[in-house]
Amino acid sequence: VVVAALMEALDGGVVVCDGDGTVVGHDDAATRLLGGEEGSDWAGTSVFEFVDEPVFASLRAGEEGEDPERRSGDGAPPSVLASTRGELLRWTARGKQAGLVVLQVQRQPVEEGHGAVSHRLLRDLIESMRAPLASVRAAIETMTHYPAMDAAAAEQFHRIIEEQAVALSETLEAAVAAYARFYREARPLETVGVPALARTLAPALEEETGVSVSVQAPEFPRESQPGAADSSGDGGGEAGGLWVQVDVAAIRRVVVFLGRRVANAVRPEALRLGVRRVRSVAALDLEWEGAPVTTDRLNTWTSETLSWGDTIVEMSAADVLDHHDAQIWVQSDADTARLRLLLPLA
Amino acid sequence: MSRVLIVDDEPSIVAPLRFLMEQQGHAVTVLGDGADVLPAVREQRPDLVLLDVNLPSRSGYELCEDIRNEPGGEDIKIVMLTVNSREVDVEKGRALGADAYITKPFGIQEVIDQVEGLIG
Repeated sequence: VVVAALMEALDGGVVVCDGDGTVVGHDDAATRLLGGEEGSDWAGTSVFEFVDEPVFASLRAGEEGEDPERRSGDGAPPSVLASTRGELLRWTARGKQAGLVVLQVQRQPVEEGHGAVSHRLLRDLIESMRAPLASVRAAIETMTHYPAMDAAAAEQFHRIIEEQAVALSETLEAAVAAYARFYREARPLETVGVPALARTLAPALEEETGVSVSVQAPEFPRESQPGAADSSGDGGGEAGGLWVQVDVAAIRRVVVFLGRRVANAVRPEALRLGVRRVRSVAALDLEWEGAPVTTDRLNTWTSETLSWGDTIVEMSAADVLDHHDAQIWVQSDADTARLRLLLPLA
Repeated sequence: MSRVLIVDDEPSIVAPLRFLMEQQGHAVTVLGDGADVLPAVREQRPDLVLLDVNLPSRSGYELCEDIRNEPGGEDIKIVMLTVNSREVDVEKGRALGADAYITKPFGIQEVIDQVEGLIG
């Protein structure tokens, strides 16, 4: 019963063994993945028929906490890639139940993953910058070391520096464009209600800025659906389905980044995330009482490279906004200043 | 006076390298295409080759191996200059016979030190 319940609960193939590696049960998906005939029953046989003993030992040790290295930083279960009958499979330990070791088996795609693409783009960027940087550095250092060089040589080195500086800029631009293309393909947009988005953003914004953040969002009818007509009828109403398609993590990154810049620049006592419909788009306003920031300053902020966690290659807020077909600008009225982020409705 | 052969297709890096080697008192020849290297090596018998890895026609790795296989080629000092900075790249260069492996961008003193350490 326990084995059946385990196999029911997990995706992909499941193999359940005792601590010595004797198979207690497996599902049909595991049979297919491991190359068995339909209806095969491997109960009582050794799992080492399918996975090497050290791999099994490693998975079991990681699951039992004997080998903390086996667990990833985010607490993901121990997982190992192993070749089984010529196919690359991912074996993941899914816990011990009643003394049984539960192993999940999944086919491992061999195509280049997003992480690999990101890594390759970074490596390409680094390597493509090395040559022009080498020329610039060599030219500068040579001029410094040989200040008495003749005018023709000095002129040649000046020209090298100038040309290679341009080459560096172009390389960087090309890398940003390549990453932006990758990002568009790699980061799918998900449908979310803007009030919910604002409520998700507020705690992160508060934590990063150290300023209290409130959310001012309209009532959001439970029955509203993405793509539904605006129930207010006038296009400017408070209600209606404010659904947008966003990469939540990226938008959060942008809003928190800009919030931090605002907090440092104008020292507001509090921030407010306002949600409203503006004709056929949704507005997410980052508001405060006090002086507005200038458009030039906002442009500078949005062109800065965003940083987030340990991600090495990143984009600017402008890139993220472009990805969402979004716009942002500065607004102010009476005592309230705001950055207005406009997102197209889903 | 030692003979130094610079093999690099990028004029912007060749100019300072040539200048530096000449300042060190070496006779310098420059080639930009890997296909021209072996004939030049046979004809000029350089003491040292500053060899870029990414070249038209033939890669610096191949050329390094070819030079080593030439009669007397084991006596020629080879310094590879490259944008490939991974440990595997460095190891490949060394395995194919490079005496030194310098990653771009480099300080000119590093190049001078390496060259003078090998043929000074």
